Amino acid sequence: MSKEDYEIVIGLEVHCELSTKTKIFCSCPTEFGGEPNTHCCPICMAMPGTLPVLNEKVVEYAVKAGLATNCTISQNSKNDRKNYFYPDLPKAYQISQYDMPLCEHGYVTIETEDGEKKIRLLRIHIEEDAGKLNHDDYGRGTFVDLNRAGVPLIECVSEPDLRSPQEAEAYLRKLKSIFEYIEVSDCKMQEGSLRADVNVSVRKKGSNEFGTRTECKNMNSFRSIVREIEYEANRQIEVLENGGVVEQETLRWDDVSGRTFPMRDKEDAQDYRYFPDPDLVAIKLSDEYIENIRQNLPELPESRKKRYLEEYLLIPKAANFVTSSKYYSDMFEEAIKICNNPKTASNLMMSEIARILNEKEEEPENIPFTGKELGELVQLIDKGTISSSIAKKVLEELFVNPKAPSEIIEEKGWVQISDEGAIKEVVMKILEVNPQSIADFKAGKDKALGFLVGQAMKETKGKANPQMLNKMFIEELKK
Amino acid sequence: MQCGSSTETSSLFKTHNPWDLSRVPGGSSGGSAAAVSADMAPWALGSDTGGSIRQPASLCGIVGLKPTYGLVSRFGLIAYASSLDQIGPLTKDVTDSAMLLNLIAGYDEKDTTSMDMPKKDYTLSLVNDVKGMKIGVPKEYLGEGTSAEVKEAMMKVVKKYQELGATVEECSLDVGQYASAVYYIIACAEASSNLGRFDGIRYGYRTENFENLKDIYKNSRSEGFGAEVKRRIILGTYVLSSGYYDAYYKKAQKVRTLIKNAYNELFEKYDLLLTPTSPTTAFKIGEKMNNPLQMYMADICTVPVNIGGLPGMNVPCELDANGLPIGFQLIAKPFAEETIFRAAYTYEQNTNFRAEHRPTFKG
Repeated sequence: MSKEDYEIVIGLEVHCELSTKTKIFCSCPTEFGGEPNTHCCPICMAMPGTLPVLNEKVVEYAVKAGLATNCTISQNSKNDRKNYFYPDLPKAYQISQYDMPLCEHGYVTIETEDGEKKIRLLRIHIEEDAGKLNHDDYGRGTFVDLNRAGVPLIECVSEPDLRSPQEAEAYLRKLKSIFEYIEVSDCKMQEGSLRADVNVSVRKKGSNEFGTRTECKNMNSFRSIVREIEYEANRQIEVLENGGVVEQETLRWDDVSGRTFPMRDKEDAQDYRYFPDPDLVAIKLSDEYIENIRQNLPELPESRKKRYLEEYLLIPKAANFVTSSKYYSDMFEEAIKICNNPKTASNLMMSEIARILNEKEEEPENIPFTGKELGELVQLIDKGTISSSIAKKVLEELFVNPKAPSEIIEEKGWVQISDEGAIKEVVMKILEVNPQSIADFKAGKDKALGFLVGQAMKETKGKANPQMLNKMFIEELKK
Repeated sequence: MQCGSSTETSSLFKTHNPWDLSRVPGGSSGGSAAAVSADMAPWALGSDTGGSIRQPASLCGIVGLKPTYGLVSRFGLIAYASSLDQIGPLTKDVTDSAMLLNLIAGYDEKDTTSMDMPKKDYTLSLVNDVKGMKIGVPKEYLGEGTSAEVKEAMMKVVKKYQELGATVEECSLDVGQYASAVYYIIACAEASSNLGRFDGIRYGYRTENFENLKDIYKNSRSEGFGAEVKRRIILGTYVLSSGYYDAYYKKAQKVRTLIKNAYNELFEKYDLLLTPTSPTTAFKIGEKMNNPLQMYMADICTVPVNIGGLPGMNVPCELDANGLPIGFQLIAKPFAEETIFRAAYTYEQNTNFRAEHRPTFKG
């Protein structure tokens, strides 16, 4: 049998840090960074005698996330202790949720090659993050930084509904985009505020039973998730094809070698001894509370997309693209407020901004300028101050040195030449050195016009107004 | 860290009973009880998870109150069993107890298990009158294992309350027989988790003898904890383990609910329940040291009160033939400390234990 005879089955456990101002059980800031052990207090450092108090905002944000992913919200829920020893876990237990999660049985819709597909969510629960271990480069040991200890997380567990690395990526992007839209997390993957445990198994096509799965912990880039799934599926297929058995194990992905490695041996199989945390009272939510959050949910991508298609008459491709990220969508809305030209604004985003981000391997949240600059740029095109080819150069410059586009073109001397006398001068100069093109044009070869305009643009370093060039060449050629 | 009913497993020193220095003061707040009893301190606070205020108060002849779970904040108390622990006063008399409770009771936003309700002035309950009060005496606590002298003392207390105008009758708390089993499962489970942080990394003793992380954990905890604490951590870890959780921890929680329900039923009929605080008076140091089960029997009368989350107070009443104090326990429904204060105060005003008896420091 070959690879094509197998089906990949993937499930993701996505951990997402909530963007509440304070931690889940104390009032320390959740802010990323800071000198080690400066964002912590006796409570998140687990000083004996301290007690946790649940941050109500955490519940609110998790309920928002649940509603935005079509979950049922549990009116009765509780916190449980997950007991294990690790130096980044000062209480020696993590407060999480075990058998009564806050949100259950939701789904999100992703776009696949075969159209839309529903990916079911088993549950979303709240829990606290652990601290961080810093291994000293000079061999002086390992240092514990508890700044992250107690930062609130939601863990979103999908059903094993994903069938390819591409579906897994689309699902994670969708989840990220939803959480950004409802403003419960900034989803910054480089800072670890969005990370996923990836469960992969393979089975023969047509089989109803799942294969043995492996779990790869703490993946924090789309690219490595896709690579890990591809690698792991191939590895498992190879094991099976050689008559072997896939071991259920926890893996670590190594980005450099592009391989997975077993993380723990079986002797260490953990028994977390979950039990209800007696320091915290049960979480009880009223119908009114849940309804109120539902009524006040920000506009979700689906609704924005509809609006863009109907109000701004974007083509579906553009509407899909702009709503794929809240950062794009917010930028777009800010831009068109200024320029009132949805078509050009969305085109620039879809072609130029996306291309530049792709080259830089960055995400939309890393765009260093705002919709204000984009709007102004479109305005400058519409006014004829710059050509669209100059606009592309301005965008490149905005990524490096974000400031008002008008300032950039002034500094760089990129203002479009729209002066009739100046344009005429260029046209005459180009015609003079290209007699063959004149002959071609007169012989009916329209292509020659394009060539001449191109030469004129080159001569003016892209600054000449292309419409005026076109017009004037035709006038002169027809003389 | 100290567990058990004698102070013999204390990480520092053993405490002696001021009434007989060869005997234990009770535990685990035995040091506090002995100090108040010996007039070394005007009053003290103790923590009570299964009887650690009331049992030593009884063995040392003073007043000890475990308030209703949720009346006093647990913030600042190093947790042993979070769903059972309460802080309470150890005092020479009932008046001091009410005054001290006034100071420590009340809602604390740092402890979500503390009850948000208006503050009370417990000294207003210091009224010398129990006429019409209904007191039930669960027969199960006067059976086998309770010494004859303790039983006799209880009968005298019953008689006294009847003379003072209360109705006292026998009742039954059948399900109470499971309280100790429930207690040792729940308390050990919670303790095994609460004591996890004493792992040699940030808190607790750290071994000098390690090669890797696993060694730090294993050796720090093996060397740092005493025998009784280890016994309880192992028991607690076991009852929470997958495969045993349902049979032990979950079942214990169910029985806990049954015990609470049984108490609720009794309190529909009675204002107070009356039991011995300890089935025996102070035992000799070393006597039960090697018999944990017998040691666990010492809190058989106090543990059910913690399981129910109820308030309970030890009131000293007699001396036995060896000159050792005997105490009785008054139990009320949740947040009915006033009823206890009233009945205890009335007993105190009409008897003379403290005036007639003082610790002798013999032995």
